[in-house]
Amino acid sequence: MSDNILEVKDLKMYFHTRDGVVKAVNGVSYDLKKNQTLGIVGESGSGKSVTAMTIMRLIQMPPGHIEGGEVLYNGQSILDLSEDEMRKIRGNKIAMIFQDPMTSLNPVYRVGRQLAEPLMIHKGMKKKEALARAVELLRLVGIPHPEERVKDYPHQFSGGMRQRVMIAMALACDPDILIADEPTTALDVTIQAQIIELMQDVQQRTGNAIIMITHDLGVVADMADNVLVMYAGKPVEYGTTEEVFKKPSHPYTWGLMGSLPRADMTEKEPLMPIHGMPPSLVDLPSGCSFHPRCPYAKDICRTEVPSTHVIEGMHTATCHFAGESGFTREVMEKEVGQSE
Amino acid sequence: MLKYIIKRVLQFIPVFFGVTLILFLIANYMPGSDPVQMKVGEKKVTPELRKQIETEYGLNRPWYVQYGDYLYKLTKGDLGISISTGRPVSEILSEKYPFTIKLALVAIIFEIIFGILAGVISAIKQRTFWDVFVTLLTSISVSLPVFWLGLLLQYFFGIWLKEKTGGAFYLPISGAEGALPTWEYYVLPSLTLAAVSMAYAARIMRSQLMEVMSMDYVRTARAKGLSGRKILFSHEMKNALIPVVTFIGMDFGAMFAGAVLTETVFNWPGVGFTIYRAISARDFQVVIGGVTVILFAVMIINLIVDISYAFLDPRIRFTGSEE
Repeated sequence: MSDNILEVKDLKMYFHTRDGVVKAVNGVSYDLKKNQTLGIVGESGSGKSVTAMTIMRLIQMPPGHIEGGEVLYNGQSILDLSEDEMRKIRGNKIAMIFQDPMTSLNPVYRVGRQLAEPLMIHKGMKKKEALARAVELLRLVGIPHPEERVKDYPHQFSGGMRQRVMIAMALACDPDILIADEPTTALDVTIQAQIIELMQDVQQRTGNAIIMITHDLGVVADMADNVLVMYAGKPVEYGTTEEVFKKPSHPYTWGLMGSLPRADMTEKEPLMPIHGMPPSLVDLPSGCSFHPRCPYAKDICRTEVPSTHVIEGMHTATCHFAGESGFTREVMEKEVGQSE
Repeated sequence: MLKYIIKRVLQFIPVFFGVTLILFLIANYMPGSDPVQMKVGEKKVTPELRKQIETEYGLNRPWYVQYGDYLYKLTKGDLGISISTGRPVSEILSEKYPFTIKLALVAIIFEIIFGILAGVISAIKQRTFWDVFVTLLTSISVSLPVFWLGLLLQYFFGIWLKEKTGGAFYLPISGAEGALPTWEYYVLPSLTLAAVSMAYAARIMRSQLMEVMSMDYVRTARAKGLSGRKILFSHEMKNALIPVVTFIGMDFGAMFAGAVLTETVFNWPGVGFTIYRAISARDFQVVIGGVTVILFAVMIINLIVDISYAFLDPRIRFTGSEE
């Protein structure tokens, strides 16, 4: 499968802290093709961001430590690269957008200079050339009067505009992969839609692959080709967006979907939130990590770690009952509803 | 920006009157303050002699009249006449000031180089030997009284080292009167003068840099593919230096006034030492004149620091102009 631009195989990233070993990413696998978008969803602390940061090698090691697995970029193992070699990939071949645009830009430098930086280090551009390109980039992401705006400082931009700048910066070197770590979480709803639209627009133009990390299923349904649902550092469900949304096969995915208000909901039909809190990653529950919060948990869930079941095609779910007939969201939610 | 400068200059006025008024009150009501006796020395002061001297120096007038006279003369750049030497105060001060300025400059250079360097090292080598070493050194440096440190340095570098090396290597422990001293005369006094500030500068630098290192924009810079060194020197340092520059700037102002102890310990012929001697001689014209000059120097330096702040931090620049 050489058309995979990125392959992550059984990646494990642990943090060795004074309180114990935090298993932040515990056996994550997925792959990504050109022009494809992968949505990674899960609650805070499910390991979404750490997965992304590991690919960028932005995790401080120690305390972080890669316990196992592989990350292949164009067939080349990223984890084995030297720091110098990795620097040539960062911001050049794989770029990243972060959650909080308000703090992600350096307050003491002009936006133009910050945009020009990756161009100067990766593309060998002279300052003047890079600044001219910065204007083009700002125009590309829809910032009005880019010729004047390049001379402005970050605090002169609004949150949405700063995120546009961040996207422009990530796109500067025309990367193969764009990792967006909750790029819309800190923004107003109306601005969120604009940013998503911008990213889709950019993808169409450049054909890059996008990893979209979010806790917003709506965003995933909108953008992603494939979905990876993560819980407590582990993948619980993986498949194409269509498969996962049509036939969600893990109770956690059901929970995420049940927590989401829909336009066609009636007052009588309550939201179905997931009760409880995500578990401590130092001391994971026995068996299936999700069992303390799972309304359908049986004895086996408390004792045995579930294996991954193939539902159909590439669609998989890590639950003891996944794929069994009758183990669907509609049937099970009705059952629980009756017993309550 | 101009509005800001004008505002700051206006703030000088109450500070100036406050400081000078307090000085005049102290000079007049301080117990045992008899400038006439100090001038005459051992001799007995006859009432005639006292009257003559008091009239000559205007001391027989009430203090507020003297204060008014001082203000009036100040507008003409006249700081009065020293009662113990009979020379104009402005002449004495302009003779001494070069020594103080040069000492302060050398001390500031020490502070900038060693303070910032130590802070940066201990921040990037967190929790290593060097970090602990710097922390320890700065703690000691902050807690040692200036005169005590001065005496220790004098003993080790001026006396002990001289004896051990048979006079081959040592540092002078006293500032030469008269001509401006050569470089080796500066080492010990400027180190003494800079010691406390150097330690503070290092600590501020360390904590600032550590704070900046965990900032989101540093992560952004790393994600862009910048090297660690580039991130340190451009993205981290510029942000972390802002408070350090302010501290060092303010400190430079303080060194003009604070050199009294150091100059006294090292017999340094500067303004601080002159003021110290003038206080002992109850020569208040010199004290008041010296403090007035220091006051202006400190206020002007602080203003310059505040303005330079705006050039380091664009956020300040723009909020200032929008208001």
